Amino acid sequence: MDFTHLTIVLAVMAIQPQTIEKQDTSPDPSIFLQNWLQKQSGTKSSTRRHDHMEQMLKRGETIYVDGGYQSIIHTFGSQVMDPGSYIHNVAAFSDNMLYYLAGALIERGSYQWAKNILLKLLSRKPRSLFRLPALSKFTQLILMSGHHEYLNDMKNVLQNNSDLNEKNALLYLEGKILADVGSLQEAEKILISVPRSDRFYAAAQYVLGVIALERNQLDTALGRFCSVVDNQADITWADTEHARMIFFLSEKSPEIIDNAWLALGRLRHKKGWYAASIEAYRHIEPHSPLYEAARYESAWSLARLGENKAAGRILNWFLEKNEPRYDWPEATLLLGRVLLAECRFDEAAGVFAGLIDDLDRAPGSRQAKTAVAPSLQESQVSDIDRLNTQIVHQVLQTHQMLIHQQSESKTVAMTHHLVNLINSVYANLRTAEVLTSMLADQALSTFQTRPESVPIRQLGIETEKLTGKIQASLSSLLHGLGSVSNNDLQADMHGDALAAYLNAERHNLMQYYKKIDRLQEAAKKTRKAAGEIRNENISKKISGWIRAARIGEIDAMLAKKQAVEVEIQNLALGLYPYSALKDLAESGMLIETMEYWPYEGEQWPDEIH
Amino acid sequence: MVRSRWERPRYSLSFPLMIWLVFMPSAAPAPRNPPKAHAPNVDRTFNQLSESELKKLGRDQNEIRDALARILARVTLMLQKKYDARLSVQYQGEIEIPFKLAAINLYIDGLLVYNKKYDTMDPKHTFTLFDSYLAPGIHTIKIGVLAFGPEDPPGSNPGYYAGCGTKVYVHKNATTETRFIGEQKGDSPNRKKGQGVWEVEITSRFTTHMH
Repeated sequence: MDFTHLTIVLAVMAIQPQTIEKQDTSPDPSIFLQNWLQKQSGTKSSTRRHDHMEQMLKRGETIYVDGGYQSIIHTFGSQVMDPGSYIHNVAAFSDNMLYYLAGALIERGSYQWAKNILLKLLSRKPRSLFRLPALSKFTQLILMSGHHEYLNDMKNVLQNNSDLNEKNALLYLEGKILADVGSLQEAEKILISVPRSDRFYAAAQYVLGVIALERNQLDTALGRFCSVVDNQADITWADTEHARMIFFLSEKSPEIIDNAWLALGRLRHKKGWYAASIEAYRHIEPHSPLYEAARYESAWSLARLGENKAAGRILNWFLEKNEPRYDWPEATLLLGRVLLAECRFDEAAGVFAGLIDDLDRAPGSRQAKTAVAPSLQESQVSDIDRLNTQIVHQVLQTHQMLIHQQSESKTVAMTHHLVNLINSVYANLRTAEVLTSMLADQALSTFQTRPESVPIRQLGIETEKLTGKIQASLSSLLHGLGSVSNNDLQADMHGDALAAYLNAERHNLMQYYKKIDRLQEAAKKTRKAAGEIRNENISKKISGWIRAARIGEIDAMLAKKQAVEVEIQNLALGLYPYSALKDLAESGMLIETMEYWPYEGEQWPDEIH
Repeated sequence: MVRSRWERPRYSLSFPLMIWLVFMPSAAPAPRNPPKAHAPNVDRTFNQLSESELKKLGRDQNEIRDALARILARVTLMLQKKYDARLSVQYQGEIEIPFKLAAINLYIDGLLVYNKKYDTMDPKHTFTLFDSYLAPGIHTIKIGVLAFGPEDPPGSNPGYYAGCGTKVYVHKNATTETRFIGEQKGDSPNRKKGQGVWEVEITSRFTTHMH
C-alpha cells in the first residue's frame, strides 16, 4: 500500500462519524438513495416540469456535442436514476436522454451501463424513435470495447423484430467479430452475404480483403479492395433497387476508402505493378491522414520504376518536414540508394554517414537520450522517440558547429548561433518535460475511451496512471460525502435515511480499493515488461538501420572507386573523362550525339578559309 | 589531328543498379491499417506479459469505471435534490492565425472533468465544458487551453499552453454560471526571426441566478 493510498484510507476513517458506523451496511446504495428520495418527496416537489426538462435536454445536447461527457453522466445519469423524474412520463424525453447518456458512457469507458441502456432502447415497444441511432451506437460499443459477447445480447433483442437494415448491421458485426477472433472461414461466409446496397458493404469488403491478406491470397485481396473503391459511385447516388437515397455508407466510409487505396498501393507494389501502385497512392488526397504515408510509400514504387529523381524529391520533402516521422531512418536509407542509382556517390555517402551519426556515432546523442528518458517514461512512446530524434538532431547540429568553430575564426555571429542552438536544445528538453505531463493526460483519456485498443507497451503505464486517478476520484468523493454528512446531516430532517445512503455509498466505494490494490500490482508488472519490450525493439531496429547504412556507405565508396578506374581506362584509350565534362553535361550544353573536338592550334581543324 | 568522340563513361548506371537490386527492399511494408486477425485460442505473451492478463486488467478497469459512473450519477442526484446548487462552466475564446486551438481541459477541485482535442480552423469558439450539481460552497476551477503553433507539424502534440485557475462560491438553490474568456495575440517564432510571443489573457466572470 503506497503513501497516497494510506492517506486516503486514513482520511476515510477520519471522516466517518460514529453515528454512521452503526447504520445498516448493506452494499447496495441505490436502495438507500431511493428510501431517502421517497422521504424527500414528501417535503419537496421532486418532479420537474415539461419546459424544465426540455431546457435540460437542450443544454445536454450542447454539452454532448462539445465533449462534456462527464457532465452528461452527472446530470442525465441522475435523472435516469430518479424514479420521480418527469422524463419517465414522456418517452421521447426519456429515450433522448438515454441515448446521450449511453454515448457519454461509451466515451468514458463505462460499457456495461451503456449496454444496458442501449438494450432498453432497442427492446422498447412501441418502437423508440431512437432505435436506429441506438443500433448504430451499439455497433460502435461492441467494436470499440472489444466486448464481443455483447453481440449475443443484441441478437436476442433484435431476433424477432428487426428490419433489413438491422439484419445487415448484425451480419457485418458478426463477421467482423469472427474475423477479429481468428475464425476467418466463418467470418468470410457471413461478410460475403452483406448486400452491395447496404451501408456496411464497403466495410465488409475491406474486412474480406484483410482476411484474404491473412491467407496470402493477394489476387483475392486486390479484388476486395477494388470493390471498396469501385463502390464510391454508390455512395452519392440513389439506390433505385431499394428506392432510397444513400449519401454515405457510414461516417467511416471516406476513411475506409482511403485505407483501401493504401492497401491497393501496397499490394500492387508487392506484385511488381509499380505504375499501378503509384496511381493507387495518388488517390489519397492531401487532407487525408494517410496522405503522408501514401506519398512516402509511392517513393518506393517510383524508385523501383527507376524514377529516381521523382523518388528523391518525395523523400526530401518527407525528410525536410519539421517533425521526423518514426520511419525516417528507412526513408534516409532509400534516399541514399536513390542517390547511388543516380551516380551521385558523394551525396549518397554523405546521407549514409549522416544517418549513422544520427543513430550511433554522434557524441551526446546517447547521453541526450539517456538524460531525457527518465523524465519521459510516462509519456507515449512514439512521442518520446520523435522528441528524442529532434533533440539528437539539435545536439548533432551543435556538435558540428563546434567542430567547425575550431577550424575557423571565432566570430561573434558564430557564437550567437551556437548559443541559439544550445538554447534551442534546452528548450526542447523543457518541452519534453511539459509534454510528459500533457501526454500522461492524453494517454489517460485514450485509455478511458478505448482501453483494449491501446498498444500493449503503453498499457502498464496507463494502468498505473489510471489507478492513481481512480484513487483521487474516490478520495474526492469520500471527502465530499464526509463534508455533506458532517455539515448538514444533523440539520437534515430526514437525516437517518441520508446517513444510511451515505454509509452504503462509502462501503460500496471501499470495496473498490481492494480491486485497485490488485490492479496496481499488475500494473507495476506490466509496466516493467512493457519497458523491456520497448527497449529491446528499439535496440533491434537501430542496429538494423545502422548496419544497412554502413553497407550503403561501403557501396558508395566502391562505386566511387570503380568510377575512377573506368575513367583511368577511358583516358588510356584516349577518351576524354566524363568527370571533366560533367558540369557542361549536367547543364544541358552537351548531349550524347555531340562530338567534342579539342582545340589544338591557332585554327580549328575544320575551319574553312 | 585527333578527333575525340565524347561518349558516356562505361560505368554509367550498371554498378549502382546492381547494388540497388541487391539491397532494395522487396516490397513496401505490409498494410498497417487492416486489423490483424488473432490466432484463435492462443494466449500470446510478450516478455512474460500475458495477453489474457492484460485483457483481464482491462475488464477490471471497465468494471471500476462503470461503478464510478453510477456513483457519480447517484451522488449528483442526491446533491441536486438536497441543495439544487448548479455550476455551469463555459469557455469562449479566440485563437488567431498562426495559432490553432488543439485542446481544452477543465479541472474542478483537482479532478479532470473535461478533456477534449480539437481540430478546427474556426478561430472563434464557445464550448460548454461542464454543467452539473455540486455541493454548495467554494470550489476550485482550473482551465487549460492548448494550441498548435505554425511550427508544430500536423499529428504532433501542441506546443503552446495557457491556463487559468480560480475559486467560485456555488450557492444553494441557485445556478452559478462561470464563463472563461480567452483573448490571444502574438506571433510564433519562425526560422527567419527566431523569436516570438504567445500572449493569452484568460478572464473569468461569474453570474448567479437564484431558482
